[in-house]
Amino acid sequence: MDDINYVTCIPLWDCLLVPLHGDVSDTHADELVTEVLERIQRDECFGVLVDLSGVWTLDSHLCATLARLSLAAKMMGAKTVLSGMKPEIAMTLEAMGIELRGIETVATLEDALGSMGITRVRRSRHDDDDLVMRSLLGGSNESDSGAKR
Amino acid sequence: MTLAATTDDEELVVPIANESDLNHARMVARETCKLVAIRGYQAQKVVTTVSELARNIARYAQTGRVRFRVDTSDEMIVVIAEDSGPGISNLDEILAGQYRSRTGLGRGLLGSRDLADVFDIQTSPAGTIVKIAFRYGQRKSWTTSTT
Repeated sequence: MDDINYVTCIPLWDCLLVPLHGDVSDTHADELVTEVLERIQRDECFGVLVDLSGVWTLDSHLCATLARLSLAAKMMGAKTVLSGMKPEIAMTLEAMGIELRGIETVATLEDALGSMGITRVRRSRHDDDDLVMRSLLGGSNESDSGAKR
Repeated sequence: MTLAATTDDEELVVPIANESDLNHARMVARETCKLVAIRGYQAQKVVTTVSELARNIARYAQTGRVRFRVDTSDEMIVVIAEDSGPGISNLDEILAGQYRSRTGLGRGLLGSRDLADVFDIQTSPAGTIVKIAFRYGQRKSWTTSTT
């Protein structure tokens, strides 16, 4: 795989975050399917978040590839959610009659995380003070993470 | 990146031989949109249509070309995708929306027709020529036809 077609898969708790950007070639799209499915098996992921915020163009072939990825991931027990589709791309797909059936699409990456049951828990200042005190006293803190599932 | 496109007076020609040429065709489509100062949905329609037509050439005809021209008198971006492949035997089925390809959604050609302001296709066993145009000004569009 050359640098141009490098697929970025970021492990995020039990999910995979796959940001797509620029001009996604057919080769890149095919590599994406292979890489993501392998990572689902290897990392035992239950969710795939494909973020389209940086994608320039989404044509019928790329849509079909994403649908194929979603279906295959589902067979492996993982749910796929698309996020960040630009308005002009959504309008173009609608005009072409492409519906992306069977794929959950949401507006933002935050919504995609929410769809996977990952939500943000805001800590109060009081909690932060407790955390500092516990650290100073050498205690551990299980609720260190800002996100909760 | 080496640009294989050639200019013929006011026309830019992108040869299409394989999948990697699709990126080049899309890039030229984007640059053409910039040239006439269109962006957003208008530009997206042009680039997506060029992507669909160029892929059809690479997949079914193996070799062909996409020609880009800006018609300043009619205020249109004119794109001609032509190849000397075997032609499209089931054109009516495709344009009626009854065809579903094995690899895609079967919407490439039909979607291109829906996106373009002008769509004309002529196909025979000697090859296929698809002519599309997109308005970038305020003038009225031409008619759509198939042969």
